[in-house]
Amino acid sequence: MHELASRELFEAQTVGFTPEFAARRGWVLHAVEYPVLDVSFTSPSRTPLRVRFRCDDWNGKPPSIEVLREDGTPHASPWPPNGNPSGVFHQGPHPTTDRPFICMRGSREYHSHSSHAGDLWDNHRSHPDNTLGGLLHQIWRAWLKGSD
Amino acid sequence: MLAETLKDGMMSQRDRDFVEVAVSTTSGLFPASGTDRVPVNQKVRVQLDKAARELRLADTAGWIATAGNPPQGINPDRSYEENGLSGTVEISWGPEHGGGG
Repeated sequence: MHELASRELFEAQTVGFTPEFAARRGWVLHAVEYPVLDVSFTSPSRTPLRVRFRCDDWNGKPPSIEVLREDGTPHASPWPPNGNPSGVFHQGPHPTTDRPFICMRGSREYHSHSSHAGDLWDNHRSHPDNTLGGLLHQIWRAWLKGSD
Repeated sequence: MLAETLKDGMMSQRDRDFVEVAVSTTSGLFPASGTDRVPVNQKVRVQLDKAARELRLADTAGWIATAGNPPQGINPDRSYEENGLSGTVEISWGPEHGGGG
């Protein structure tokens, strides 16, 4: 994917991420600038979760997604402490990053894992659910179902 | 005094007949800022359809709408009233996650 095309798609898919949009969802937008999408999820009585998408070559490749503490430092495996009830937050360690990872279609760590080698991103990348906002929404929804 | 009390009562009843609705989606907010005032007996889907058109959402099949804190699923084919919603209603609408396990 040409970098200019990747940047244009990134910008088109994040143009609606306004401060009011973030506030209504309890999100904190740390960075929305190609190729980084860096967002914290917050909710009363919950420990915030921060995810940082690295969207180089979007959407030829899915984003690499880091799972972070609110201060931007990465969680270490095993995380989350209560396991993986939603199926999305894998305690890891991932063979490439050596950290917990997002185990969901649309995460580079999912598609590069040997367990999902046959589930190609090319088969999913054009689906409307798999925009940057769609992927972020799905991770947020999974996080909301947690309890820590 | 009595007239003002009656007027306040009527306003309150009128307010109860409407809800203020904001829909947040995978592409942003509808309306882009603030809320839309819609009848409390209007189906939720009407506002979701408007959001889909305005934000050019290509395919919303299977999307889940939630409202409240903590978020609860709502039925778009029922009205706000039938979903137990009143006042300001913030709806989140998007695809459900598909974890790989």
